[in-house]
Amino acid sequence: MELLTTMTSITQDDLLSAYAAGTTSPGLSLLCATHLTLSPQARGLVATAESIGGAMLAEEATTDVAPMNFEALLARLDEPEPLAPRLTSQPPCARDGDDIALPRPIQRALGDTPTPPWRFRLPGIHEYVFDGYQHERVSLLKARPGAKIPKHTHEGDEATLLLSGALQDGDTVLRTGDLSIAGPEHDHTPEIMGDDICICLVVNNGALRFTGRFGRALNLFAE
Amino acid sequence: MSPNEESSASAISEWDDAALISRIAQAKDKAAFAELFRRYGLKLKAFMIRSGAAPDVAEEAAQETLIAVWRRAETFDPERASATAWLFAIARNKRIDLLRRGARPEPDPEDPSYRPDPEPPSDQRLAAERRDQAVRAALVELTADQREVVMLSFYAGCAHAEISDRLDIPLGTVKSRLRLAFGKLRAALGSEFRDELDES
Repeated sequence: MELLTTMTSITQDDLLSAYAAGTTSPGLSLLCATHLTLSPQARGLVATAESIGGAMLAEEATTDVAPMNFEALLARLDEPEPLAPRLTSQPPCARDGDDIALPRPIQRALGDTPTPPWRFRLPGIHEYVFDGYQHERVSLLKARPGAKIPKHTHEGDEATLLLSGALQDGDTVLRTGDLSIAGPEHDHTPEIMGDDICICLVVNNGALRFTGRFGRALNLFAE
Repeated sequence: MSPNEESSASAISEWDDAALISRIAQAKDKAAFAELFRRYGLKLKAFMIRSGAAPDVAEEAAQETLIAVWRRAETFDPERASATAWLFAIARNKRIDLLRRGARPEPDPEDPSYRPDPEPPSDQRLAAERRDQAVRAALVELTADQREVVMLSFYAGCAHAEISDRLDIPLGTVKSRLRLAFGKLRAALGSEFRDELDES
């Protein structure tokens, strides 16, 4: 089974139904879990996709399936439950240095560092790139009011989820909880709206290419 | 309703799935569990096989799913999901565990950042069972071709490219069939589902 890693021309429908089917890549799974935390509308869509899965499970044909061992199953019911590490314990509430609470899927991904160890990128712009993701770049981006995210384009696709504040990208306004998926053809300069600090979770499955004034210096950062 | 062991054995086959799960949650009732196993054990195993598991792995994953049902029956909320949707979600998570050896991120309703559902008047709210009935009715309306791509995508967990390979049809055809299927689901599922999808 392959995981959904390519985002070419995918929509929110595609992304959330892949999450419901269990086939999003680790970075996109983090993005979806966080989106679902913030968006009841997205949860409704996943509930519908799971309802479709349930309907298909109910109709599954079993004539060719060898019988299961019910006695072995019964014997396992009373086994002590293995402790799921950290699943029941609440992680420390991650707060950004500016006291912005981060949703729990992000906290869990940060692990033992409750505050993202931000790295300076440009005046007003900090970034933290998560370790441990293969074939995708998963990062948090923090921008202060008035900051402009430099014009850039990507070789792959970029999914952006807004965790706080508001962002304008061309004609589209993103608010907290909103998701935007941009393809490689999309050369854009997202702008921070309003007076709130903006934090985004960004999943990118190809190299970033900054195309504006600061392009060359930032491309060194972006690897 | 607290029938003794003997009468429960005859009556329990009449109970619906949700009642069996609630009974397991409340009383750790092995007769209710046996009935749920009778209904879904092999279907869960077939699901794992369809997802690419070898028969012995499928057996293990189906058993793990049923053990999770036994242990977490109290997390079943009939307001949120139908019994089959809940079973599917547990089985899907077991399949993910199997393939990746690790839990994936999930939203947590206890999270202070969790935005609760808006509360529409109760008569407007599409209850989970009604959502389920509407989904089943809508699935019947799909053509065989559309139904196949929906099954592979939503249920068996195939990526679009994988569906294209398996069915030997172009990627664009996979996508257009899924779009048409989505359109029919939207049309058939009534206003709440439309609201859910229209914002996207």
